[in-house]
Amino acid sequence: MARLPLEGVRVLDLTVVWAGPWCTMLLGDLGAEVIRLDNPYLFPSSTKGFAPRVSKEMAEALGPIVGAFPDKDPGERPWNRHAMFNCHARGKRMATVDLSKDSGREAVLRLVEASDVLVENNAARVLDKLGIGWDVLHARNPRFILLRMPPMGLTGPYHDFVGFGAHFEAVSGLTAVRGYRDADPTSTTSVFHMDPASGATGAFAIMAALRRRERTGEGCFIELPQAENVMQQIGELFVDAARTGRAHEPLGNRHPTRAPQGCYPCAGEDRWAVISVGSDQEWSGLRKAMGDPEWAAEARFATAEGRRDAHDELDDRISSWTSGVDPYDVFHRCQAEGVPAGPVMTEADAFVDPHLRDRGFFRENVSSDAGTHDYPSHLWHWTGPEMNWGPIAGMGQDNQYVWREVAGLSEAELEQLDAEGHLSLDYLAPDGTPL
Amino acid sequence: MADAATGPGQPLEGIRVLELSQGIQGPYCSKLLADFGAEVVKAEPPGGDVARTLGPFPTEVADPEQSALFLHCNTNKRGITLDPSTPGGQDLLRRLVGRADVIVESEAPGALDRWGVGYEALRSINPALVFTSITPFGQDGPYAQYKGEEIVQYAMGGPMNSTGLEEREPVKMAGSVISYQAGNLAATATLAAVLVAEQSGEGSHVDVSSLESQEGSVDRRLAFLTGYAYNGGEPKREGTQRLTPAPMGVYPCADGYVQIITIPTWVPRMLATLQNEDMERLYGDPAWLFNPDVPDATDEVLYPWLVERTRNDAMIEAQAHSWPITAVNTPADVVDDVHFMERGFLVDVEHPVAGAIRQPGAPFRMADGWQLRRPAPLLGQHNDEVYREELGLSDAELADLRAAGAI
Repeated sequence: MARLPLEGVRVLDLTVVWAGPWCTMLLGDLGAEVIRLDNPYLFPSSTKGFAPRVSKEMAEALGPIVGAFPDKDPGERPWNRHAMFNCHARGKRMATVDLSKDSGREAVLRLVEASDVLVENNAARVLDKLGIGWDVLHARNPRFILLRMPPMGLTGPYHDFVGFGAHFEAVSGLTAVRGYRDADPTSTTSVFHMDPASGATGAFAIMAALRRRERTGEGCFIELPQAENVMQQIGELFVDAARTGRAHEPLGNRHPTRAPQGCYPCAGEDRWAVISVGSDQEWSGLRKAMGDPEWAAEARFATAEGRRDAHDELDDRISSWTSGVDPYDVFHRCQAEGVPAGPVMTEADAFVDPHLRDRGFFRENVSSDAGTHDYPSHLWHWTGPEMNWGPIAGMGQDNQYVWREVAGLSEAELEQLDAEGHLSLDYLAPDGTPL
Repeated sequence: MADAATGPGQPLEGIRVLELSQGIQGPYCSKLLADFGAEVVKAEPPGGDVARTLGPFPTEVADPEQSALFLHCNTNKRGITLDPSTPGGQDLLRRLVGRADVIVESEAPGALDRWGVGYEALRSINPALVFTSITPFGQDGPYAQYKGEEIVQYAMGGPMNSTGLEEREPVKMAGSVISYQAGNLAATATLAAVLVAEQSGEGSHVDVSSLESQEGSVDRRLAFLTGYAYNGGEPKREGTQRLTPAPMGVYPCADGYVQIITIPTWVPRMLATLQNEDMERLYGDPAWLFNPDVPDATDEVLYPWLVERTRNDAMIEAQAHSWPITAVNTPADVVDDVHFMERGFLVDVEHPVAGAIRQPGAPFRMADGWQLRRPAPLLGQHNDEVYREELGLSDAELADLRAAGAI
């Protein structure tokens, strides 16, 4: 009977914001026991919301996303109720420790002896500052695997730069080629594609290192500079820029060769559909989907070159058709004629979408503090062993298990750890009182 | 450059992959496997992978051996031609599968079954086979036979509805990053399935849907869907409207643009950088978060500060105080950027037709890790090596297959 590939692999998680936690979520789905370590004296902004304590009024004012609590109620422990954290927290064990204290560092090193992997995506300087750099971890456990995901790498003039994914997409060339093709660059909004790119590659890297360990008996250190990873995803532009010096610009919703391609207004308020035509055959398909209007029969639209030349005009014409049609009707009519098209799906659309429901994409899960909801589930299907789907724990909830059973601390050591203020279900002020 | 099929000592050494895929998703998936040591044979239709037609090309000539997209996505692979829609091609495919641990394919669901080379047929030849299918909507469900495209997968799967300006149409992401990301996740899923097969002898059919790779993506959509489940709230296109009154967005400077985001905890770093008494006063009042005058008053100080600085100077000065500002670089800027040059992000490659080119190097660095053993293959470059030397086909058999259009 096949087991999940990471069953028996224990992962320590010192991650923040999105890239790191999403990486360890994938590892947990694949069978790893993930132990997330939080410092109760250090609220990680943008990881579990934006402040440890949020009033109900503030949550209302913050809007649905920044204040993404169940029923907009921050509740007793808001950090355990925030959508931006709970969305990737499934199945993880939650423990607390203050790594800035020597006793906390020593306790974590005991965990390292009993674990296989540590994943972190903090600013480059953090790990060594905490005294748990590669040399220290490797000395404690020669089979240990350390994945570090600093945004710009651990060397080079920008290695200690700080920021979100959006910052590093800018310096890496992605932001300059994104956004409307006919608008000022200051209208370009922030996106965070670097995060899922890092998370997926991070999980790949861990499995590569585990396979290598299986064959050599050695652990290893992995440096995943998040910028250099996401830059792979526009790699053809670097090949081109290096050999031609071309300055690439945003294409908006257009494509270098396919035409017409765009996002078109549909019936209803703020409703849209996208259509992409890449061949003469797809162009005839679109003509049929639109009901064969007379204007579309013009010979100049019959070739790819002609359609590219007339792109603005075609956009207007297509919009005049779509603006009276529901986006899902545009989708089905085009696809029935073999034309790539789709509705711009809102979150509400996604939850009732027949395809996503049919494939069981949404799945119920329970959080200790947020109750029971439907969540987006696994990132792929397979006929392999069923992937993990564990409940969502609150901060520090597994302290007894982690420190007693995994780290193997004695009763006295555990009491000492508690007395020194490491174990908490709450975020704490420096004097140890709950915030 | 060593011209070895597999990377001795590399972490994925010994994994044999047969790629039956074109474009980005499948090829990027098997490129990741190949770059870390797997032995990948790429089977292209006799007319070539569509990526060969997409460029960008160095000149106006669309030379199929010079497409930057193809060169980037197909490093470290050997290339053969094979048409799986012909009986001869199907026979070759079955023989190749006997020598493969992994298939990566992106045909419409059911197409390979109709040709007698789908997962069920092939697993009877090789029960440990990992068969990775990467499609727009997955192997089943009402949309399974629908066509995908970069913009379609983002519109349906991603947060395109909330990307862009309120008064304008939703706008897609850069280039083909959504397609790449499906390939990226497929590589992760494939390697996971290989580990299962190596432990248990049991293969599996890995079904990667580009749609779901976006719906579950942590670039906002995963959090937005969870937030919707929590309180019914939906994000809107807010454009350049800020999350808080502190600076956020793309700002002009002396020679271009910079990216700024200032969450509340970063305000002291901004103040330390700008050294301005008006700003100290403005943000000194804890109620600044709710003061409607703050954005304009901030801009009055920030814009002149930026206009006196190049994007690199603004970045370096702000980062010295850990205030997150970065330069908005074009890909051409990146090619000459001191950081990426010092780290050696681009590596030199000698390609038989494209000549001396530079390509992105390692996505991550580890012991015995990423290597560039060979550039992307020419069309059919390794037909002789694979068909004659490895499968043992005779000259006559090869000639027949060529005549039948199978290779």
